[in-house]
Amino acid sequence: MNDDASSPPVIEPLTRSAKGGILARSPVVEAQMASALPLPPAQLKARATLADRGNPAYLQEECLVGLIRHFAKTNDRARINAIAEPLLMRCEGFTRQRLIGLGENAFEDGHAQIIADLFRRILDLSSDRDDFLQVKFWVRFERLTVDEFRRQLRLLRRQRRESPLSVLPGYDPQEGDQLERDVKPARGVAIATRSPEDDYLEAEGEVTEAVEGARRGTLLQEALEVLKGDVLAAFLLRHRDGMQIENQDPEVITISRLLGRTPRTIRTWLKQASAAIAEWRGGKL
Amino acid sequence: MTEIVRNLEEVLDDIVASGESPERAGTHRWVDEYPEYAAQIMEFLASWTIMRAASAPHPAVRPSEATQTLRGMSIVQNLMHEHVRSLDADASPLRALAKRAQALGMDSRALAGALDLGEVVLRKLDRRLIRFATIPRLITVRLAEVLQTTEAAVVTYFQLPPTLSTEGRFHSSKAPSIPKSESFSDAVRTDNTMTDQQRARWTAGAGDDNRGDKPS
Repeated sequence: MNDDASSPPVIEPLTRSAKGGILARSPVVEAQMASALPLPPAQLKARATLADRGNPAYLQEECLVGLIRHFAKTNDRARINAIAEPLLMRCEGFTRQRLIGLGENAFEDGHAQIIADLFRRILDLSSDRDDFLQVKFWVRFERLTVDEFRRQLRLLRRQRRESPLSVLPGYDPQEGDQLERDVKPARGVAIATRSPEDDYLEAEGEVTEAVEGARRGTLLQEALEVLKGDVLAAFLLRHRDGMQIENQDPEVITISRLLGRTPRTIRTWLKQASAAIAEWRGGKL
Repeated sequence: MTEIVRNLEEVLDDIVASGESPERAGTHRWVDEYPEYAAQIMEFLASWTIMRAASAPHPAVRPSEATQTLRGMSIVQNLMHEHVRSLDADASPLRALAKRAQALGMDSRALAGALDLGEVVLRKLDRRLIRFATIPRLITVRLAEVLQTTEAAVVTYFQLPPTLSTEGRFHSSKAPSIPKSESFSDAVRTDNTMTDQQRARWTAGAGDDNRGDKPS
């Protein structure tokens, strides 16, 4: 550490090895850190709260992470708190935009999980594995958000499994039957919809994770190969995540609500998707 | 050094950083490059596609609208508590370099030898009397290897405040004081337990900031 009060603060270099060599902060981030390190907590908070990127006093997220790690070494809580709060606010807008479609509860739970994950990484001074947060913060943060989005989708699916569909208000048994007809199995591998035989085998404990994995793998491979954009999203939600197209209960997250389209549009997309996959399979065989 | 093995996290970061929309991110390209992660890459691309399709336009959160900040700060406080506990736990093996080495079966002389340094410099390093910015990176790398810890832990150790000698006995009525810190080069030049060759290797081209690798 720098022992002379008069000399400029020392900014520790990153140590993580990456594809192109050791990771390094941008000169802008380094300069922001150098200017912010000596500030008292109140001034630090004022700068970290600035939202205008064009303001010369603005501090990027990469800089805020670097500062938190720096102050964590000496357990400087006042400064860490001064920075953490504005950083949390910036993150909230990002996660709200991406998770709110899954419902308020999913957003609140998901946001809390992401923040816990993020700060656990930032405060882990024994490792440099998250040096990347000081290089491209939003890239890693988006990835953490995708992971959490996927976890929330699984939770929704589990909740649906725990409640029989027939007791859900607005459940349409015809919808399930229609899906069986829409998507035909590829070379003996059923995708997404389940047969009575599957239920029997699962009850017997014979549907192993490997079989589930193969089924999911086939589905994903085909869908990613053939479909795009909203149609791909709708198809995956229906056939990978087992989400309903619509439901009369406004609390239930459906494909229609999540993607902000009418059930009719979703059904049209699913038909297009099934046709495209069938055509692709035909061309492949 | 060692060959860099890309972990899944870094690969997925690359995919996001590529700036392409998920469905155009070229599943083939990434799966072909990292076949060992094929399943995870496809799962990730699928979830990313859905997340983007389901994203609602939302302006930046203003302080008055940040409903989750208090909860977030509470999470941060809890993690800070954990962090302080881990700092205590992590610092103990490196509370003294020589003691850590001793626990691994090395005395001070052996540790100094492993670093190609003299024992006086080693003691100064141990007490953090040498300014961090002037310590060659090779020292932190070698120490991490020898002491079987991470380089980050060594870097953290060197940046803690200087300490009093744990070996000295103080008979003066005045409270003991910590000597002024010095540069790595100065410490090497004045260490009479080092050979001239050793000193030359470590001081060649020494400047104010020594974090480059030495000796060559």
